Order: sequence, then structure tokens, then C-alpha cells
Amino acid sequence: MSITIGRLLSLVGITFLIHSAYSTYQHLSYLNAVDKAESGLPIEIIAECLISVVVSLVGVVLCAGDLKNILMENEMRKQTIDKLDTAPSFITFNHRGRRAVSAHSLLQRRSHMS
Amino acid sequence: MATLGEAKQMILDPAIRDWVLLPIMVVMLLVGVLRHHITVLITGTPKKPQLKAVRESKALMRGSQLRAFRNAIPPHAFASRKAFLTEAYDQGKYLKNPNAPKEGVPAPNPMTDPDMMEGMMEGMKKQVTNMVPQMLIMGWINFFFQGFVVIKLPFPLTLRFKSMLQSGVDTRDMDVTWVSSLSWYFLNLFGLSSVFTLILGDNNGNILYILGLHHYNEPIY
Amino acid sequence: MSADAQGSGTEDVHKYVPMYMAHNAKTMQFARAGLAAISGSAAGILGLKNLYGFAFYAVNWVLISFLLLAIKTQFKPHLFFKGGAKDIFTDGFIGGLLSYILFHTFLYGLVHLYQ
Repeated sequence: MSITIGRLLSLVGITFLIHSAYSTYQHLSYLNAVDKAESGLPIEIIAECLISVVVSLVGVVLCAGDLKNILMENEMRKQTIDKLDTAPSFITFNHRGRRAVSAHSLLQRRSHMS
Repeated sequence: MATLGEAKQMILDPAIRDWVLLPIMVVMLLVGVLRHHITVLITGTPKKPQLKAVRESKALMRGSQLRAFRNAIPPHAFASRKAFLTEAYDQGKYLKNPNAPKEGVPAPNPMTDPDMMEGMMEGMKKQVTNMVPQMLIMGWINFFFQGFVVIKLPFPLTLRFKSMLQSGVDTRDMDVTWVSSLSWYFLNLFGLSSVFTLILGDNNGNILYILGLHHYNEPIY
Repeated sequence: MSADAQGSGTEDVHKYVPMYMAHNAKTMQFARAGLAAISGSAAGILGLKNLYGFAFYAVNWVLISFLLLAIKTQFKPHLFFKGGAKDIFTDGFIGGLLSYILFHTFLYGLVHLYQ
């Protein structure tokens, strides 16, 4: 969501920047044509340029995507103990699950037959 | 071209802009993109680790871990593990290359050992793909675009840079800020690296890596 | 450094996730590339010379660092960068400067010199 806002903002800002570039060019060629000395740009062009810079910078910052938390403890909070501390040699198979599985299969066979 | 005065400054023919400035920039951009794609095509898949080599290193690690944690296990467990591992090492069961003679082997020649050759080739390929386009473009610019100034730098420099930046133009009085096309090439070379980052993502070979100016992700220790 | 349960100060290997640090560095580099292009173009359009050009770059640099601090990190830079706010304000200054000079010169030439 904020990336699309960022793209829109930076596009708008760059458009206005290009527009101010073109109007500067026009203004300077007008001054050259009438042989006046260059006396600084009109305030509208300067204002348009600076505002478009600020707008497009905000757009670029929004466009850049999120930063990720680098602290390891944040990452560790998402992990379960099974991912971190597996010791396959300690896994036993001689537990109550054996009885649970056989009871389950018995029930299934009975429900299929009836 | 107007004369240099106080009120008027030198202006350049728009044809220079159309046929020199923009084409050089566009060519460098396109060559950079092309080089990136060629690098991607050339480097190919990373090498798969070899089973025997990994097994040998893991077996050695197992021995050193046993030595390190010998106090944590009961003596009979330690003795049985030690017996097993020493027998395995003596018989060479985990060796990567069981047929190689054990003593007096000279170090493998870098040219003939295929593993090391590949590592060297990768580095050389990267350097070649970086250097060759730069040489070509510099030669092209020197050949075609010599003898005139292209653009004015907005900031002043000392006179010592005059010979470097205005390489083809032999005037004495022109400011150092008016530069030739070769310096426009150098300006583009340094400045377009960030543009490449914008459009190509990371992992593109550009001059800033070579100059050491780029900042990798810093080590955390 | 901020106190936390795991790090001891000397053993930073387990304190920070290197993949995320690289990701953050890449994001910042993207933002700074955009800064160089936009502020360089603006400086060229406005016709700034000499020191004003570099001063404009410095001002824009501080502006974008502040924007990054406010929008991206919500004023908590120690969560995202190892050096905290100092990293945001100083990383990549010279690389950005080179691109800034390119765009500044280019736009200055385009707008002011070719009439």
C-alpha cells in the first residue's frame, strides 16, 4: 500500500521537476532572445523545483520498502523449540502413540464396514 | 560561439548535446545493462559440493569434537568412540581420494587441478567482463569525440586538472570547468553505478567495487 | 549498546541477523540512489554553482536521512542498524556524491548551456 503511494508521489514529483526544467530552459532562451542579462530565475520556478524535490524524496523513501529488524532476539521469538534444538537420537518410538494409532485404525475399519 | 565576456558566457551548439552528450550516456547505460546480463549468463550455477570431500571434513570434525568433549561422556563411551575413529582413520575409510599416495605428493599444479582452475576462471571472467567494455568505449570516445568541449562543470577546479580534463583542446585561457568528452565519460562511469543499482537491483559489476568505494555489508565482529 | 538478554558485547555474532542487515543496507542504498538523481537534477535546474551545489547536496542528505529515520524506522534506529542513527546519516555519502555530481553537471549543461 505505501509502496504504491510512494510510486505515485515520486512520479508526480519527477513530473513537476521535469516541468520546472523545461520552464527554466524556456525562460533562459527568452532572456537570450531579448538580450537581457540573466538575473536569477523567477520565484515560481524555484518554488516548483524545490517542492517537487521534497515530494519526490518522500515518494522515494516510501517506495524503498520496509526495513527488517536485525536483532537476533526478534528472530528467535519466531522460532519454535523444535527448529532449534532437535536431537534425533533422543526421539523414541515406544510410546502411547502406538496404541493410539492401532485404536484409530480399528475404528476406521469398523466404520468402513458398517 | 560567443566571446568570453563578463555578462555573456560561452554557449555551445545544441548539436553537441544531441550527438555527443546524450549518445555517450545512453551507450554507457546500455553497455552496463548488457554487461550485467552477460555476467548473469556466464556465471551459471554454483558448484555442487562433492560428497567425498564433505564426508572427509565432517569425519575430521567429529574427531576433534570427541577430543573437545571427552569429559562429558562416560569413559566406556569415550573409549569405544575413540577405538572406532582411530581404526577408521588408520584404514583411510573417510578419505576423499583413497588412491592417492600418502607421502611425498607435491601440491597439485593449479593449472591441472580442475577445482582450483574453476575458481580462477570465475575471477578472471568477472575482470574481463568489466575491463573490456571500458577499454572499448574509451577507445571509441577518443577516436570520434576528440578536440572539443562538451559540458561545463558547475564547480571550479585547479589548473592542474586542465591537461587531464581538456585532453584534446589546446587553448590556454579557457576555464578548467569546460571539459572534453573523455571527462564526461569518466563522470558517467562513476555516476551511473547508482543508477545501475536502481534499475538492476544489487549484484551488478560496476566500477565502485573496483575502486573500493562501495560499501559492502559490514562484518559484524 | 542497548542491553539485551543474549548479547555480551564482545560476541556480536549471535546478536544480529546478517541477512537482515544486508537487506537494510540495500534498501538504504536504493533510497540514496534516488536522492542523488533527484537532488542532482534539481541543483542543475536551479543553476547552483561551486559551494552552493555541495551545500545543496548536504542539505538534501540531511533531509533524506531524517525522512528515513522518521518514516522507515519510526525513530527507533537501533532496531534496524548496528550503529543506530549514525549509520543512517553517514553511510554511502561519497558514492551518493559521485552520482549527484553526474546529475548536477548533466542537468546544468542541458538547461543552462545549450540555448
